[in-house]
Amino acid sequence: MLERRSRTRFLRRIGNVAHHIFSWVTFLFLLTPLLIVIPISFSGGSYLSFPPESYSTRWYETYFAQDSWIDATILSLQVGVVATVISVAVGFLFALGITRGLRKWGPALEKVALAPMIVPSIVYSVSMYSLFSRLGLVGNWFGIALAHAILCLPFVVIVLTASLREYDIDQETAAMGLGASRLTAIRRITIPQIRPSLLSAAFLAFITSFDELVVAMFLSGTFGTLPKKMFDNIRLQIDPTIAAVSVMEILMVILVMAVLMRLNRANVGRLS
Amino acid sequence: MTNENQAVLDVQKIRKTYGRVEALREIDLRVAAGEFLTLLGASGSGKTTLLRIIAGFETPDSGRVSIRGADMTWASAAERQIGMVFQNYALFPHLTVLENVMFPLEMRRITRRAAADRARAALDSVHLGVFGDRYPRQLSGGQQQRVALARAIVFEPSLLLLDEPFSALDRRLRESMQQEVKQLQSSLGLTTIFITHDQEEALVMSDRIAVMGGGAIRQIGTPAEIYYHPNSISVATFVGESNIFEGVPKGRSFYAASGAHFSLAAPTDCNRMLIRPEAITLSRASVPADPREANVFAAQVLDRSFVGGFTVYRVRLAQGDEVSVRAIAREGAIFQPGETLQLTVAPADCRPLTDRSAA
Repeated sequence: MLERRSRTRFLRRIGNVAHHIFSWVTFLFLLTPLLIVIPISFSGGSYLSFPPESYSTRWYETYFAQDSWIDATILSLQVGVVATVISVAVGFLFALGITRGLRKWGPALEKVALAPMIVPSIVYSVSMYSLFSRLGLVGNWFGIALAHAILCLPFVVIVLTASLREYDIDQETAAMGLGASRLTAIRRITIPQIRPSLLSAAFLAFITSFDELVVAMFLSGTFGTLPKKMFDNIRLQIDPTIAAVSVMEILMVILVMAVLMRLNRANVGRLS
Repeated sequence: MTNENQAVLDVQKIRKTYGRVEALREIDLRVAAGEFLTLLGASGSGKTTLLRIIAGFETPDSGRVSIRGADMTWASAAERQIGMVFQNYALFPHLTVLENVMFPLEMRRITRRAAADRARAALDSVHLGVFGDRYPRQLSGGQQQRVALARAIVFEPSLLLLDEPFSALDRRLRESMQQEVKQLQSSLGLTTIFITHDQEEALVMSDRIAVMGGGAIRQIGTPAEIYYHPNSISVATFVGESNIFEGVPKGRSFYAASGAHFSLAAPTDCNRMLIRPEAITLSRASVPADPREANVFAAQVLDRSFVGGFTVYRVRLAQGDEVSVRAIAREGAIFQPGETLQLTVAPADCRPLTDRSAA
């Protein structure tokens, strides 16, 4: 008996250690490429090399000094925000339709909403190009935003359907029974409670648009979004500016996620 | 139109089907001002569908719902001025208790200050005056229940609907909440429709009970009418314990299939009869009962269970029928399994079941 118990204990400990090792290896595998970018961005040389021979902040200066970088960044932010607003608005209505009312068509609609994630982006880009060229939307920032909104839709729909399925619909019903219209009930009762999911959905949508390259290449004319500018930069000169840009992007994501976690924690504190 | 006796709620010929399932088949129901009416039924009996149609969360396939004489069949839930307490309370977790109770007043565009005053008064009436600033999750189940109740009555609805509100509470709390709700209801004169599957709760609280089954109202009446004069086996077995006899009526007599002879208080032509277990008396007799005599039988105790205030015996008549008997438990007057006793029942307690359509 005793022997068996100690053997079980031993095996369990081995399993624990293996699990830890596996987790850390995965973690490093995912994170190392991101970490390597940081020293490169502070390189003193004019080529991408690791480890850098000398250190400087000149590539950050290059970024801020060149109008083409700043313009691309502003354009990406603009496209990202508009795509986020459109995809969250449409995706929320979509998720409402899937989770209630459309009992028969809900599952089919859900699959349709996920299609942009499954269709190869090159196929999507070509078809968008041929459609938008007829509508005069190629070379127009709003065209990119529109195309991005559709690419963002699956993420929004996944997050919001999950959250609406968990939400107790009786609350909305109760609000209507207490004198609210359906719209007021959704605005005052439903939305405040799924706010964490709405924020994550918006964040996912924004990131999807902000680093999207293929659609942007097809639909932007003479100008370009930040990913397109980075891509052009790699093709033409390969200097560490893109490393500097990458580091700033990573910082932005970390910042936004921190803010989101903060907001959600404040929410959880009140709700659960 | 301001007749005192006018029905607050008048439901006429309501039908509702879901696909091929007939959830409600021609429901007629009138509820008078100040009345406490219970819809009693098992799950799937249609009581929840009926409640949702009255509340305005569902629309009937045909029929009419009138509230205070106005046709409300197609009115939205918001227009109906109905207060409802949901089974899970459906309190808004992101609002404080006070904000929850203020919500219906806000929807009626009442100024914030007046709304807060009225909400506080409503919370006081359910003894939760000091909990206004808390969030619902910080309250116990019973307290959440009271908040839901305050929220449902704060805007002085013409009708209060309670959808199995006590099902999540433990027995002791449920009993005190039943009393409290009943007191509040009668002191405010609130016309109330209460839904439950618990027959005891229905008997305790209601002015009238509508027993529902299979999408129809099987019987409607006061608790005493439902208990003492059920019209069918389904009502008799749903409300209280029952012994059912099938047989042949003959004037004021009823001959069970086994041959047992009962004499009744009035002539009948029903071929089913009910005897409540507590209406039967067991005694030790010196002379054995004559098998031809009505309402007196020789019976053998099969088993017994002691339930505190009373004892439930299962006995077999000499004629073969098995009967359950509920007797007040007096120490020393407890019968043993195997003992042969005399069983008597008064003619008035042999109750014919009049409704032959519903078995």
